[in-house]
Amino acid sequence: MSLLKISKINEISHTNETFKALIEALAPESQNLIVKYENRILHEVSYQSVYEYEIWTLNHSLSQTILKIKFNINLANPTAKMLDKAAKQLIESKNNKEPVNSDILRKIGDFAALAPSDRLLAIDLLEKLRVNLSSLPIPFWNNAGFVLLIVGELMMLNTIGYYSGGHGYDFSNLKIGARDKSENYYSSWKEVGYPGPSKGYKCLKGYLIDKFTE
Amino acid sequence: MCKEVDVIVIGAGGGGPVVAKELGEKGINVLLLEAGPWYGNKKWKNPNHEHGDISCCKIDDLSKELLNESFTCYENDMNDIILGKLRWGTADLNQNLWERNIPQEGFTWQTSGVGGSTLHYFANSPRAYPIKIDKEWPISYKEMIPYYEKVEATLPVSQAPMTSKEELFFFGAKKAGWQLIKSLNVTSPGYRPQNNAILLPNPNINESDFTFDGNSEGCTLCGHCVNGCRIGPSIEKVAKRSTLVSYVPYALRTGKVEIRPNSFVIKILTEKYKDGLKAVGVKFRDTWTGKIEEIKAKVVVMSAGAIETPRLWLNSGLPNNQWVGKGITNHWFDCVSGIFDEKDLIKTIGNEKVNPYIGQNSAARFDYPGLGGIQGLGISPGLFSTILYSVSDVGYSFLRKNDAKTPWDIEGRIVGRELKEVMIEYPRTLSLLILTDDQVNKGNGVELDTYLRDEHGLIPKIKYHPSNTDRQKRDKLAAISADILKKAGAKKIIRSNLPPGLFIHIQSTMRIGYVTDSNCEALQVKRLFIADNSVLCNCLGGPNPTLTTQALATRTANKISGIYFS
Repeated sequence: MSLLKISKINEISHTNETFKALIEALAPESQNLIVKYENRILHEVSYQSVYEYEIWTLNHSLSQTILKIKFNINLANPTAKMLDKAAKQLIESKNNKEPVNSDILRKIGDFAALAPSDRLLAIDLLEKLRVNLSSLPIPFWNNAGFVLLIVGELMMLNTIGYYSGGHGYDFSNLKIGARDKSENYYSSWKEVGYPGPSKGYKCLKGYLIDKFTE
Repeated sequence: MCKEVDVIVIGAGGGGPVVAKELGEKGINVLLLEAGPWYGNKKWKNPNHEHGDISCCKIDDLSKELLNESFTCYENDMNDIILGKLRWGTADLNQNLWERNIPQEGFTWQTSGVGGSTLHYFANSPRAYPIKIDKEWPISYKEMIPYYEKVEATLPVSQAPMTSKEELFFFGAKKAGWQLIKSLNVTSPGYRPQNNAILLPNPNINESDFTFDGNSEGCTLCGHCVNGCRIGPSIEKVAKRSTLVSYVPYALRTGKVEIRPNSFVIKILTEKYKDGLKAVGVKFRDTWTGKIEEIKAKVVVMSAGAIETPRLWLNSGLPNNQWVGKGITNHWFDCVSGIFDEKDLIKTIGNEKVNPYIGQNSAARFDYPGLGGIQGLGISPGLFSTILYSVSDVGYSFLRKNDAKTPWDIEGRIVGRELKEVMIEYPRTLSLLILTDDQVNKGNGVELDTYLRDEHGLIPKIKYHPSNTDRQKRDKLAAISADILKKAGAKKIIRSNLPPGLFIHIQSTMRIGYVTDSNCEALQVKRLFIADNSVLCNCLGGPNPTLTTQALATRTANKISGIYFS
């Protein structure tokens, strides 16, 4: 196997693990909520399925046309590196509240090595543009507006992916426009008490006024 | 082509089909070009997978069965930013989105396709606040009234029905001391049901023998307005009156209108005329094949929306005008939500849950001329959690020390365990969406990016930073929202404090009186008209813009007919 290929595999692995760490911080597993909501059936939605949705979407959301040829720009890898840069800055400034996991730091990267709550502090640095923008990878390099846009998108993809059922698609065999919904699709809806699409409800409570006037 | 073209209309969203229908009824031949797909048409049986036919000019081609197949009611199928059928991009889902450069947190929520953003809109159809037109527009509110009345009768527009969430909203507003508004022309603060473009529910809907088969006439309170709506016995009788099911069929029925989807206009063609220019046609690109064509006409109408219309003007190299693309208003949204206890809900609405997914997505409103508006927001959990809890201008809630004086318990983005906890309260949450009366500011707007381009030219770059006055208005509306929720009995109040870059009601980038004359004809290019949200002179004071755009488009069609085809 060529060095280039090994490097590519390592990069993908790093990206996957970094996004798993991101989702773990944003939308943790539901187990610890079971005690409080014991009268509700909580259905486990693994954050591991949400990270795939987030990576896939980032890798299909940006393109550029150069000399009339359109190029797709994969954003997940540079986004993972950007998260690492922010985490590194948090660690170096000693602003992390919990200890860093040195084993994960060595095997994966700075962001995943932080405790989940400290990962949010690293993202907060990016949102407040308190990172060295010249240390970020392209296309984030010295591009404050784009940093804000993509960090905001990370947050939105987390909730839309988790609560709309986006995580339930089979991303290992995804074909655009022909998405099959796995068993996972409905689990977050059950968690929040949403019954799913309906054709109607017998819930009409009348009208507030007789009619509008000019 | 079905016929020789008199008028080309660019864009089949909220405004374009209105112009097409009105001109068609006057015997004028119209070609309506739309960049996105056409759902519910036999000529495009697989609109996201194959090119299909070229154009359609026959009402018989519309198919409710095909619409049922496309509009699944799953929010991710319909509104996913990349793969959703109501996305901002080509019909071919294998192609990427159409790029916008937005150098701030947020996104533009627009839909391409026949029907445009009316496919996902809530169908709220309030008139503008009279003072906002009379003070700043080159035409009066009084002159607009007959056009409002015509659109309200055509769609049609009527009073929205109540479900639990509206009943709770009204209960809180009344208890907070606000007046009930019964007039369509709003001059003082108060609450009222939405006047919306959704067919009234069958009065027997609550009866045990009434069945929901998706084919009955009238709204069924299913809560999928934002997912396109497919309730109804035929395309023309679908409950939510997007232009796909209203003005487009009406236009086809004139026998004078041809509609061509998958056609992205990339240039306005002009010729010298007296001391200036006149429009003579358009150049457009087939989004499936990339083939570029030109078509000539006597008049061109731009209805591509408040971002693409100025972009097209600029990419066409039309004359400089200091207001082209400038002055964008966006209602700088915000959300305030209340979480209720079951026992309190049983007392006020006789039900232990609000159930935000039941009923029309936004059927109640509060108006305050001078500040803006507040409307109910009830949607399915993916969009609900994203808009309410994951976007904020003030960062994470857990990093904020909440000021005891603020009327909310939580402010900012919610993540982690706290997100799970508030979402578990989803069935007992009532949410209010704030629409700010934001000011026109010449420093805000749409321009061309310096070097980023897609297949249609340089991409638009959008800049929007509200003023301190806008911020003060929005803060007041947030405080009023919190008070209404508390008076309704909410135990926990959450303010999202949304960022300015959330673009949904995009308006006033090609302002009447500044880029166009009072007939909506471009000041510098004769025979070129504008009929979309871009031509609105301001943000209307806060009311949702579609009805006013449609009323103005009706007037513009009259002007086109009178000036060039009499």
